[in-house]
Amino acid sequence: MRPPRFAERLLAWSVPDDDRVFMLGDCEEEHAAIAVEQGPAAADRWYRRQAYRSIGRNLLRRTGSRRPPVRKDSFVSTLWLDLKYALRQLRRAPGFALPAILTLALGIGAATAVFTVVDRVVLRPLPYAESERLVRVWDRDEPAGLLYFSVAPAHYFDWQQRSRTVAAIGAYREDAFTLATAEGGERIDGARVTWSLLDVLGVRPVAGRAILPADDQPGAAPVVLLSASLARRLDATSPGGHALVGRSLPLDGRPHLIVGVLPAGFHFPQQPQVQLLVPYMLNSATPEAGAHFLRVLARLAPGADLAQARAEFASLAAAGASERPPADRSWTVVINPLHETIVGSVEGPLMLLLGAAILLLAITCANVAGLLLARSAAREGELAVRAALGAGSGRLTRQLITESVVLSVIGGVAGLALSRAGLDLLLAINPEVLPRAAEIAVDLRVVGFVGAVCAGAAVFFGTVPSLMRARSSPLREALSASGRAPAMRGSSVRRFLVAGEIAVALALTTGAALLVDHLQSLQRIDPGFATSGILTMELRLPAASYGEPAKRQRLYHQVVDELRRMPGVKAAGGAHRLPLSGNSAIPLVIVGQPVTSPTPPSVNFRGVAGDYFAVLGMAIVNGRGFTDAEMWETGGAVLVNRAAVSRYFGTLDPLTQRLRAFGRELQIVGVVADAREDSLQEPSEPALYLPYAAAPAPGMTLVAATSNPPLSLAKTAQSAVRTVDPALALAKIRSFDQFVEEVVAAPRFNAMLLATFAGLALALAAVGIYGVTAYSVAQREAEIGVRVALGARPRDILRAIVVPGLILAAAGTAAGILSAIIIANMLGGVILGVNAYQPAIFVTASVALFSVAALATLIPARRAMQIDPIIALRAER
Amino acid sequence: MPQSNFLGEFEHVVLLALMRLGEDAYGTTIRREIEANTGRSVSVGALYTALERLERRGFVGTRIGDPSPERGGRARRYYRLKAAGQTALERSRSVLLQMWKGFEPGEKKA
Repeated sequence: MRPPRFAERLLAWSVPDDDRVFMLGDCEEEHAAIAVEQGPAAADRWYRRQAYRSIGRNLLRRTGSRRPPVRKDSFVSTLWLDLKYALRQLRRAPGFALPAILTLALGIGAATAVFTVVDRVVLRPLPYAESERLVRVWDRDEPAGLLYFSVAPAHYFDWQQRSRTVAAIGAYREDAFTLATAEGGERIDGARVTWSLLDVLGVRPVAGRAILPADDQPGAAPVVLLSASLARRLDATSPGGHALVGRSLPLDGRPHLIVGVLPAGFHFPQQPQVQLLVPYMLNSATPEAGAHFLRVLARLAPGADLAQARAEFASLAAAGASERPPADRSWTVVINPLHETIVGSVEGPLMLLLGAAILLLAITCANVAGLLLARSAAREGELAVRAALGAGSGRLTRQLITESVVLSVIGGVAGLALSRAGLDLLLAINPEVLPRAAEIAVDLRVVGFVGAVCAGAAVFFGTVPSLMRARSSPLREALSASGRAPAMRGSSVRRFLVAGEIAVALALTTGAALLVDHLQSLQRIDPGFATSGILTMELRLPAASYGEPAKRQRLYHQVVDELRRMPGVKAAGGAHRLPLSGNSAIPLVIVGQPVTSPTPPSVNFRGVAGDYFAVLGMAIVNGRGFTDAEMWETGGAVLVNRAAVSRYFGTLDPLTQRLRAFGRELQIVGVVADAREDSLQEPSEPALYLPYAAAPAPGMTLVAATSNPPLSLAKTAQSAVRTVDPALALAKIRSFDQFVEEVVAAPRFNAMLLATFAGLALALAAVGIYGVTAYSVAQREAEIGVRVALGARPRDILRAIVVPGLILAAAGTAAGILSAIIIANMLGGVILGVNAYQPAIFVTASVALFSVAALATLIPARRAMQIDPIIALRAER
Repeated sequence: MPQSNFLGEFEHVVLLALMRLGEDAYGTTIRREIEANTGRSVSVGALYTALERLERRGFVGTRIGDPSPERGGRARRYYRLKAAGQTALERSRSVLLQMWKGFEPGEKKA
């Protein structure tokens, strides 16, 4: 009689392999004995009890915690074997390994480069202590449309004295300084800061001391704090710059005492080019206290949050409003986190690019998975033999996963190398596009990211073919199938992957096309001013030697005359701000006009010098330009643009009107054509143009129109300025084209990157569909041979191969159109001015992608048509 | 793997059973021998666990017998006490006796 079946099975299942035969034998023998002695029922009862009581012990031994590695290989030794085997396999199949590694490296490299940028620019906190508590504060005049405006000193002092929600508040303004050197003068970017600003940022000098309140008093002896890089440049022998502290630095014609050196990792917020800090010496009593020119940062007090600070500052502004002159009453306050201020504008586009890079990575993974699938199908015979020789299915799976891990790691290392190159390329496109670009570097976090990506990829590649294997055929079938039966296992997965690739590639291509279109539309805009053949350069007069306006007027007059005299120069002038580089605003007061609202409208103005309009090709459409006397001496005239005329003067003849600005009356002498000085995308705003004598700013951007290549004049211009005053130095000498290019640099950056990704995606998708088709042709070679031998025409063969490919391409394209619509809408939401509704682009991209996919199937199809039945059939075993 | 030279109680009993059974020691006989002499029921799982450990410690040796029909055509695995097992048994016994000295078996300290 037999023992109870279930109990026997349980016992057999639980017992370690080595003991199975003996234990089952023992139990069956005793079962038989008991049956004789006590009857079958007692025997069965005994057997069951034995089985149930033994399971636990058996399993414990089976899981091996107490079991010595007698015959089983250790994990490490098999791993080593697997590794060696995997490497040998890859070496033996370079036709598979090279494309797979290259593809992986591309995907991982692109994703890594973009992740590095996103990580450093967006994800990481700013490099200041408790940086999440830092906020930026602006003045806002909503009726005038000044939403984020520089702060008036009077407001700053008000907040400084009364606010309880901020622990520290500081103000600064970036400025350029002239350092007297042996060669003449050198311009150095710096900032004037209140003594409290370093407290706000939580930065301590590494050598010397910070700026003290006493240094920041009007009339105090001038001191300066140096950046680490400037300190290194001034005295390379002194690590940390200790030796520099106490020395004197000739800045802007006055000796400044070096009191300290900032840490090497310190970047001035939003102005990483800042190399030195000097005390602002702000005075609430100066007449310019009402003008808006400060940038203000604050650190929230412990326990206070952003909402509380906003509420408090709003009430401070409201309380102060009644005490202020009427012109100043509509000002309110805006507070935003500093992180958002710095990276807010790029966060959306960067995240989008990261998304695109991840999609690209997905395509590469799909491609490599497809390659592996094809390969595992081709290796079916090999694996079946190994299984027959005693390799367990777990063992084979481990082998396959080891192979894919090796592949991923090689791909990942190559990708990391590629990402460094890609990163350099990214930053070379234009570093100024990215805030915090100075902080970007490949580091452990990025390597961790690559590791995670590799691990994910490896698991994906390893498990998909292993899963296919799990359903694999027995040895005989696998061995005999090679060559004849279409080993189509896994090919439906491959087809699905390829359709997905086509869809993603189409979505990326459409997105890139939309961005390129956006870029082109930006570049097509006529800004209303000329940009080519113009040299621009910045000059700033030090306050020490040029404190009086009359001196500045004389100097700029001379400089502009010198520039005009330069060979090849047609006209020369300047402005206190170039177009597309921000605005300054003053209240518009028309003399003799009844005041209709309590607050006069704010209007943009530019202080101009010399032939500004001639250089920029801005026509004077009514009246005349400034005379030399108005420009350099009296300053009693003003020009307005057309937008100002139509908005503020109605039926009045503007040439008969006078305006009040900078404490004096100015006669309108002419009307200038509109130009998009504010932003390329926005229509022109009303603007005033003041002659230099009416607004004698110490810093001007000089412009010169020339028929030569503009930059060829740089040296001559530099020496022209030195002939007027040897202590002066020009800075930021560049062509105006270059400058305008920088304005569209961000859209170009996005478009280029996305276009690159789209191109890669397209290529990969084409390779994917080619691979699937070529593989199926190779698999079906014998079948095709039979068909041809039986009289199939080439056209039939072509159809048999191409139609599935086309179906695949069509399915991918259809899915791609859907995802493209989603991506387009996201783009439209994230990047200002992108028009997502452009059917032409969608159609073109779809047709292009479909054609590429179709083409990719045609190449292997051609090969199928050339199959010689004799050769194909002879090859069959 | 370093292990103490002491035998567990069950190991002690298994080795004694092997000694008693001599040439005829295999799973079934060992199990029955122990049950018959101790009155304790022993599961095959526990027995095989102990035998495996004893084999690993070099106290018992094995040989495979011939398949037999009453075992469903399966072979027996015979166990025999090796010299090291004999030594271990004797040492264990003398240690226990030494420790028992001065206490009569069955005596309980009040």
